[in-house]
Amino acid sequence: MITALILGPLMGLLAVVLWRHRAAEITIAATVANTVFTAALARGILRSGEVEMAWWGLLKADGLSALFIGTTTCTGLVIALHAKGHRQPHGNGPIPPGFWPSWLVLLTGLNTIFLSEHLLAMFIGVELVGGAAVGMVVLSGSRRALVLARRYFLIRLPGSLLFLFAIAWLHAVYGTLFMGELRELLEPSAMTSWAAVLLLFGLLVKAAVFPLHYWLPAVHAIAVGSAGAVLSGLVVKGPFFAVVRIWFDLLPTVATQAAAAFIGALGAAGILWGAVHALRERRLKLIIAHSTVSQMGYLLILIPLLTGYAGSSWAAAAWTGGIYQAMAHATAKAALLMGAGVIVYSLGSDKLRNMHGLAGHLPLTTLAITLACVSLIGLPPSGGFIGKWLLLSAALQSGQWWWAPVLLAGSLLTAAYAFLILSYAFQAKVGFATVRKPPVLMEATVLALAAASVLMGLRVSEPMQLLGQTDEVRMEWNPEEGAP
Amino acid sequence: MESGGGRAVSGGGWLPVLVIASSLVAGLVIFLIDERARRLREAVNIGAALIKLALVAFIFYGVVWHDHSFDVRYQILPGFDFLLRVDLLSLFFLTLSSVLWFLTTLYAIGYLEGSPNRKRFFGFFSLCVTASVGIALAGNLITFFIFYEFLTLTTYPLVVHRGTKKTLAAGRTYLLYTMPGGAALFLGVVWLHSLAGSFDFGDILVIRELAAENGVQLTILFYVFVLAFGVKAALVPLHGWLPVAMIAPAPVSALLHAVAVVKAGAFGILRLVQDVYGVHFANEAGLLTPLAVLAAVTILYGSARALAQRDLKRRLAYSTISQVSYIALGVAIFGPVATIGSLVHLVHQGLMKITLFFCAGNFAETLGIHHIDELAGVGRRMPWTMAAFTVAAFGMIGVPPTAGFISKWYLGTGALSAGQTWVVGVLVASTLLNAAYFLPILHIGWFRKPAKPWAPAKVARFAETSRLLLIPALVTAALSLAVGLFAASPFSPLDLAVQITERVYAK
Repeated sequence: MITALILGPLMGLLAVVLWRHRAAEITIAATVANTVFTAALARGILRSGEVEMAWWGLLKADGLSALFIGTTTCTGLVIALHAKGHRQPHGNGPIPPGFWPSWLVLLTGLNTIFLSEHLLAMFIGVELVGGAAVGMVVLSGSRRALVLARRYFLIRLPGSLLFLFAIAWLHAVYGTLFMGELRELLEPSAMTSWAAVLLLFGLLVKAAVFPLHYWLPAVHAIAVGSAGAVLSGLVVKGPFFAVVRIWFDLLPTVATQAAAAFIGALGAAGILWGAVHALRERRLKLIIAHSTVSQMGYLLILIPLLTGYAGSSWAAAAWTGGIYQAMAHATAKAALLMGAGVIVYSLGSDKLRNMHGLAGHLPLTTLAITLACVSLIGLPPSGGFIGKWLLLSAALQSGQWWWAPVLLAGSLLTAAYAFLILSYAFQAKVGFATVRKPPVLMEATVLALAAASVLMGLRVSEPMQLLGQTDEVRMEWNPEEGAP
Repeated sequence: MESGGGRAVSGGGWLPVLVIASSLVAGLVIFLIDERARRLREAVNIGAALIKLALVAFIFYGVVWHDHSFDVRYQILPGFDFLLRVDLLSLFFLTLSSVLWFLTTLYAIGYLEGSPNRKRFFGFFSLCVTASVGIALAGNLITFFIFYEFLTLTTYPLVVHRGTKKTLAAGRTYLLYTMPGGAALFLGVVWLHSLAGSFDFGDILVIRELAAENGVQLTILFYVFVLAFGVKAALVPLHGWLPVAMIAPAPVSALLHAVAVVKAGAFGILRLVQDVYGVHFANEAGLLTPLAVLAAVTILYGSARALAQRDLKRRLAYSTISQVSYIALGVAIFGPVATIGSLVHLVHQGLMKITLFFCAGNFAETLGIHHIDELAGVGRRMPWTMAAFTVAAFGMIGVPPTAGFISKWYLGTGALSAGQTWVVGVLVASTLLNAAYFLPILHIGWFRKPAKPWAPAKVARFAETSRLLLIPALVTAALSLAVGLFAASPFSPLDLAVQITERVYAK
C-alpha cells in the first residue's frame, strides 16, 4: 500500500501531462484511488497492529501516518470536487488548469512526509509540498500573486537549506539518517541540540508558527478558493507532522522539557496573536488566514504536554487531542476557504461589508461556514471539540494548568471572529448589488466538508484505536483511573 | 450506576432518542422546505410538536406509573459517554418544555404571519427546543454541556431574527455573556472529569470521595459551575444580556424566559447541587449559603429594576431575572421543603411567564402597544388577553390560589424550618415589589380610559385578536391557575416535586 500511495499520485501526474484536456477527471480519479489505498492501509494496521515498512525501510506507515494521510486525502478529494465545480468570479471560466498537477505533486509530497522514516525522504516530501504550494499561490495569475509567491518561495528557502545542512551533519557524525537507528545513537550534546534546532527551525517557518508566521495571511488569502483551502487546510499539516515525528520519534532522548515548554509558549502566543489579528480584519479570507496561525498554535501545545510524560495517565489524551485538533482543523479550515471562494464567486468580493444579508441569499454556504466555525471554536460535538477537550484535560491532569487559560481564551476569540462573520451574514440590510447563484457542486462540497468536520467528533474510537495500535507507549489507555 | 435507587430498568431506550429526534429532524426538514410552502412547514412544525407530546406522555406514563427508566448510552471516548436518561427531574423539565413548545409553536405561527425569513425562524426554533429537551434528558455533565452549547448556538439566530442594527447589537451582547459562560462550563466539566474520572448525574459519592484530598479545588469548581450556569440563569451580575435580548420577537422571548435559556441555567444549578455535588455534601461544605445570598440579591435587584421600567417587555425581563432566582434560592436552602418550592417553581414560573409574554406580544401585535402607559383601557378592547395577563400577574405576586402562591409558600416555610429567617424577609420584600410593578399595569389596563380611540387591528380578527395568538395565552393562563388549584392532586407539579425531593434527600 505504501508503494501505491507514493506512485499512485505520480502516475496520475503523468497521465495529466499526457491528457491535459482530461486533467480534472484524472486528478479526481487519482485522489479517489489514493483514498482507497489509505483505507486499505488503515485496515491493515488496525487488523495486524503492526507498522508497515517499505522501500528498504525508507518509508514507514503507522497509525499516525494513516490518520494524517486519511485526513488529507479525504479533505483533498472534496477540495478537488469543489475545484471541478469551481467557476471564476470574473467571467465564468473553470479553475486555472495548473491546479490539477499542483495538487497531485502536493499529494505525493504530503504522502511522502507522512510515510517517511528516513530524514532525506522527509526532506524530499517537504520540498515537493513547498514547490507545489508555490504553484498553488500563483494560480490566480495576478501580479500580486506572483510577488507573494516569489516571497513565499524565498522565505521557505533558508529553512530548507538549514534542514539539508542539519541532515548532512547528522549523517557525517552518525552515519545514518534512518530515524529509528539515529534515535538510538543520538546523545545529548551541544552539537545534537544545534542539529535539532536547525531541523526544526525550517519546519516551524513552514508550519507558520509564531513568530515565523508573518508570511502566511497574505499568501493564503490571495489564492483562489480551492487552492487556498489546500494551502491553509493541508499544506501546513505537512511540516507540523514532520515536527511531531522528529520531536517524538527522533529526539526523545535529547528533547528537554524546557525546550518543549518553549515550543508550547510559541504555540500559545500564536493562538492569541492570530485570533486577535483575525478579529481586526475586515476581509473574510484574511480573517480565515489569521485563524490558521491561531489554530496551528493549538497543535504545538501537544509538545509540552507529552515531552517526558510518555506512559502517563494523560498521555493518550494529549496525543489523541493534538492529532484530532489537526484533523478537525484541516477539514474545517478547508471548508471555510472554499466557502469564502463561493462568496467571492457570488458577490465578487470577500469584504465583510459586502456580506450583509448573505444568510438569506446563500443559506447553504452560510450554514457551512457556521458549521466550520463550530469546529474551529471547539463547540460540541465537533472534531475541534474533542481535540480541545482532550488537550485541556491533559493540561489539567499533567498539572500544567497554565495552558488552560490560553486554550479557553483562544476558543473565545475564535467565537468572536466567527460571530463577527455571521453577524454580517444575518443582517437584513443587503450589502451587495447582485448575487450570482453558485454552481451546485461548489456549495455542496463546502457543506459536506464542514459537516464532516462537525460529525467527526462523534466517532473517535476508530482513530484512537488506529493511534493506539502502533503507539503503545503514548497510548496506554487506562479508563479506570485516568479519564480523558 | 443506577441513579434512582432500585428502579427497574426496562427496554424502550430509544424513546429519549426519538424525543430529541422529533424536533431535530423537524428543524432540518423545515430548512429544506421552500420559504413559500407555508402550509407544509406549519404541518411539519405542529406535527413534530404533537409527536413529541405523545412521546413525552408515553415516557411520563412509564416513569410515573411503572417506575421504568430509560437509558441511552453511547461511548464517544473511553470515559466520555453521551448519555440520555430519564429520571423524575428530567421528566419534570421535559414535560414543561414539550407542552410549552407546542403552544409557542402555535403562537409563533400566528405572530409571524406574513413576515420574511420564516423558514429560518422555524428551523432554528425547532433546533432550540431540541437543545432544551436535550438539557432535560442529559444524564451526565458531558451531555449536558453538549446541549447547553447547542442552545446558545441555536438561540442566536432567533435573537437577531429581525436583522436590524439594534437586534444584531443585542445578539452581540447575548454572545458576549453566553460564550464565556460556555467556556466556564467547559473548564468546569473538564476539570471535574480530570479529578473524578467519568461519572453520571446521581453518582454523588464520587465527589464525597474526592473531598478529603481536593476540598479546595471542589469549592472553586462549584463556583465555576455557578458562574457558568449563572450567566444563563441571569444571576446578578451576569444578567446584563437578558433585558437587551428583549428585542427578539415575542415568541422567542416567551421561550427564552419560560423554558429555554433562562431555565437551562436554573436547571443546571439544580443538577449541580442535587446530582453532582449532592445536597448533603454541598451543605456540609458550606457551598450553599453564598449561592443563596447571590440568589437573594438577584431577586431584590431584579424586582427593583423592574419597577423602574416603562417598557412592558423590559419590565417583564427584569421580572424574570427576579423570579428565576427563586429556583436557585430554594435549592440553596438546605431542607426538603424549600427544595420542593424551588422545583415546583421551575414549572410554575414557566407557565406564568410565558403567559405574560404571550399577552405582551398580543398587545404589541394587535394594537402596537409597547409602553405601559399605552395600555390604558386595553381591558375593554382585549378583555381575554388582559384577563390572562391578570391571572399570570397575580401568580407572580403570589396571590392564592395561583401557582406562584404555592411556590412562595413552600420557599417561605422551607426557609423557616431551615432556620434561615432572613429569606422570609427577602420573599416578603420581593412580593411587595412584585405587587408594586404588576398592580399598576393591571390598574391601567382595566380602569384607566384610553387616551385616543384604538387603531384598527393589525391582524385578522377573532373577537379581539387572531385566534392563534389568543388561545395559547388562555391555555397557559388556565394551566397556571390549575397547577395552583389542584396542587394537592396526584401527578401535579407539586406532587412530582415532592417525589423528587424525597429521592434527593434520601441519598
